[in-house]
Amino acid sequence: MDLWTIIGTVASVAGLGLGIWVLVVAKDARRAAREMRAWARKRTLAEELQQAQQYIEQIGDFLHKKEWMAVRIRAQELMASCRECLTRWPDGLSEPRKDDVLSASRLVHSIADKAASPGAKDFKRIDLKRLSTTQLDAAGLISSALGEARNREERNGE
Amino acid sequence: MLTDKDLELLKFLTNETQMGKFKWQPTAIENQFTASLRGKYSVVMNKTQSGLVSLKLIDTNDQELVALTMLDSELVEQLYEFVRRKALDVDKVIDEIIKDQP
Repeated sequence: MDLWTIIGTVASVAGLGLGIWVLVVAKDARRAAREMRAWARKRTLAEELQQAQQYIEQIGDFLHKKEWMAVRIRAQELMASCRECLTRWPDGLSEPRKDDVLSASRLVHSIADKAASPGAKDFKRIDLKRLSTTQLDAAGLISSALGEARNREERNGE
Repeated sequence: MLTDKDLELLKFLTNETQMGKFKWQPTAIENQFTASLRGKYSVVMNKTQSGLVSLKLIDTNDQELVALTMLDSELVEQLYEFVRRKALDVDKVIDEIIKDQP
């Protein structure tokens, strides 16, 4: 056997090995994606609100660091999360708690609007204080909705 | 253009606000307040730097259902003042000041 034949054989064996490895990884990735979709479908209202609570905490953190772009991205995610809570589980919360979720979404909307303003770099202390207070108000509203959602889940044995 | 229904809405909001039935909250934007109704709608009241007061009724999909300004009705400006006082707890502050007087 000449050198080229040996190299060719090794290369094709390595290629076959790589192909099998890619197939296995792709199958794993597909299974993970399928599991993720199934989990998202099974997600409860409390879990969605828990996610919203994490977003609002992160917004607080980004406000503190004055990372306005990150504030806006998280704000959009939180607003989407609030909308999902109200549309996917229309009877999941009492009317006052649904109002809380809506108000939290509006408050976060105002935070995003403010963070998008051209003067964001030169915010005065009063602006930063107002942003921080609004974030805390929104966090309180989401927290009260989460409390009710968890309470209902526990009662229903979910 | 102000319709009869818009006027009904304004009167309803004014009465309910005066009775303290809505939880008005200041937003991150100066002179802007919001409250939610029936678990489906939000009302946003705003006063611009030039002094123009406006009211918007928005649904859960961020769709603007009603938009009124003080130019449509003086009730809009009146409501804004009630809302501002409620959201900032002005009456409570006044009580606190009066109480502390010797």
